[in-house]
Amino acid sequence: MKRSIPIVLALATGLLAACGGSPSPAGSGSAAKVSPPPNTELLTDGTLSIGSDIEYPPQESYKLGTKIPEGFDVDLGNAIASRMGLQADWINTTFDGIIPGLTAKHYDVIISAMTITDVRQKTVDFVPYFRAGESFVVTKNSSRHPTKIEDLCGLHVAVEKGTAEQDEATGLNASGGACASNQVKIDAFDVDTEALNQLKKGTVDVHFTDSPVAAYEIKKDSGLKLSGGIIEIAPEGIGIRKGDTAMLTPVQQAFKSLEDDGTYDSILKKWGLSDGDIRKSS
Amino acid sequence: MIVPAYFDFDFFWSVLWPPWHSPFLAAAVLVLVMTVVAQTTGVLLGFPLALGRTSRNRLVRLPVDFYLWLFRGTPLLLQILFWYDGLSELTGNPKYLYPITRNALVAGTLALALNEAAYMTEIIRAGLQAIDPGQFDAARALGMRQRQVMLRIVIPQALRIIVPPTFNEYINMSKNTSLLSVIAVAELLDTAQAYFAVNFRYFEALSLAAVYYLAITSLLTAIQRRIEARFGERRDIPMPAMLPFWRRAIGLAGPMR
Repeated sequence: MKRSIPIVLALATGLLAACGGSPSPAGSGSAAKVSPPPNTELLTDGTLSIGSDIEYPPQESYKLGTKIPEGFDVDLGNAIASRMGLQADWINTTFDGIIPGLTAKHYDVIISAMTITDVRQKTVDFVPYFRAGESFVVTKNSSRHPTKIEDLCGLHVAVEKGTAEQDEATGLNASGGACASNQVKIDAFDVDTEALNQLKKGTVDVHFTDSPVAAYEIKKDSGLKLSGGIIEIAPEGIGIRKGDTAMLTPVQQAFKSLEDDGTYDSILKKWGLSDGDIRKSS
Repeated sequence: MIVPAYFDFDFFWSVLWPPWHSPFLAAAVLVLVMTVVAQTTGVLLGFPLALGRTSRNRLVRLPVDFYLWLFRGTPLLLQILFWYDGLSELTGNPKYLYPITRNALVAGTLALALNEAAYMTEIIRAGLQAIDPGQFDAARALGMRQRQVMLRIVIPQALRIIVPPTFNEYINMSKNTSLLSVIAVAELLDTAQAYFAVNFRYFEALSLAAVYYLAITSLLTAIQRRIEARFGERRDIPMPAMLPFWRRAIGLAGPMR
């Protein structure tokens, strides 16, 4: 996870270079337009189609009883689209199929709380926009208190399919891994809320998920608590098809303009996620 | 601009061979066990349900009709989630339900079996009703009791009609177990997902699962042939020689026998 940070810096440098030409509207509240990607890049003319696993509050979820997506990622994606003069169209997909869906052009970009990892970067270019870690959620009266990833050895853990959490837990079990002799029992689910439900039912000891999601879960359910702090803090990125600069550049410019005029800060604040500000590097 | 396409043969082969320590082999064994347990339970439940469905007593027939209406009228995937997640919420998850609500394998197999029982009921009912009523009357005329008529005359003949579709159901069941991946039962699809979640080799991981599914269905098909040779075929009536497929397909099958 941390290995990816140098690449983030490289991307950020590229981003600054890309913005060299257009004057930045720093401080001014007026929304500066960014020229959109050419229509050949878009699934639908005038629309930015965004692939997302919309069952991941507070970053993306459907407003209860509706098919209207809401959340930090949703506000950000809508703002990026409108900077380019486009309408945002949110396309719901399962997380474990989200990268093949991008490659197969089911949507133009991914905004889905996706952690930037080396393996993902083989097929996807990222615009880093948020920093999140991972947390362990347990039930309030649980006797299990994992605080670091190796503490998962011998425990029954629920994760979402295709996530960095599943990747890491699987790595512990590999030969030479920390839990090679005392394996983590991993149950992986199509949606993260189903993984959480297993914790509530008592099927598993721990729900291992992203820190913003974990914070949201314990706020909503008093029977749950965090075990330990936030681990593996890493950037999340907007995913774009590898090498597709015609799409990458406008997205970078639009995100930069949201950072510059304070829109980014207000969206972070609205969702209580200011800790995840991508500019706060550590 | 897009990553070059390739088939990661090294990954594919290293997981495929040798199979002894592959998670796919363990998953395949699990699929086979679940198939046999769930489908056999479905068949066993189907017999009394089929008798109930053909009963002349409304008090017997109505509950069976309701069962079929419910289990054939809702998707299997929904039923799986109902037993695993819905039931615990409805009941407050008491301790005696833990074997179902906290055990995905049990909940999943139960869902498959109860759903299948509804379909087996119809297959068995169709088999029983296909027997000419004259057979019934003749057996009665010979002085057999109702029970004897069923056991000696009707069921042996009905089995010939019931066995072939029942084996199709075994083969279907082996593939329906893949639905249990949603509740994280470590069957073949779940195993494939666990691979591509980490290495993103979707095609290779899915191909591995496909290889094992084909092995399972081939095995079941071979068993089906043997059993049908015994029960399914009517040896008393000589069958005319089979016409080539293309002639049957374009309607040149000749007069029906």
